[in-house]
Amino acid sequence: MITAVGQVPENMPKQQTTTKFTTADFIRAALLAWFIPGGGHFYLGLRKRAVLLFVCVEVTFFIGLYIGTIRIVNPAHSFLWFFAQAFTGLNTIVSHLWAVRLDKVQATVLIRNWSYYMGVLYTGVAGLMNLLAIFDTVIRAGRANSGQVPLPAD
Amino acid sequence: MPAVLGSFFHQPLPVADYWLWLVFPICLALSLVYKTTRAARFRDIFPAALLLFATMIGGFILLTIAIWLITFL
Repeated sequence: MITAVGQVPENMPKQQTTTKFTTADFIRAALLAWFIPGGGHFYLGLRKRAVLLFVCVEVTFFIGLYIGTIRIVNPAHSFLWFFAQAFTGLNTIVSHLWAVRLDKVQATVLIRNWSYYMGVLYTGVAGLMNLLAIFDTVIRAGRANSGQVPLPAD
Repeated sequence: MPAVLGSFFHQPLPVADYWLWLVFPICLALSLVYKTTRAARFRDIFPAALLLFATMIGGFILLTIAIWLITFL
């Protein structure tokens, strides 16, 4: 029962959406998920999940930066961890440019102490969490496309 | 303003004395993100994440006890 255009009564269960995605949609969703944490879920219409993913990934990443300084986002210091950090997309691009600039200004050796390792761990895990979100975006879109599992309402 | 925000990330935080406590926020974030990708309904995420968080911390505690027993007994 639809009461008005675009309005569903509150007592009715939310319907699961069955949307067909094109290849361009898949690519767009995956790129958005990489560029902005939660962006892919937002694109698929899963807005609450998108907000939760965004908050979790961003908070973890920025705690890492606060503990270990922005200079830890640099492949010159730890290439493999930078590879993990890179999955946070925009965060890593901005942080890396800033880190390179700061390395030139400060010109001191980055000390590998507890702060460094905890910072690298937090930022790296944030990137890996976003990788999980990227995979989830693509898998959900794929399942919805094939009609196996429709997208949830929220 | 950017300079103030920038200085926020220029000096490392001395965490040598309490680094172990940092396991809690990262486990919480990890369990929330994992359950966000796995739960069928949004309202199921928080209880499931809490359970996963408790399991992770419990697992760490048990592992610590096991390593301590192996090392010192």
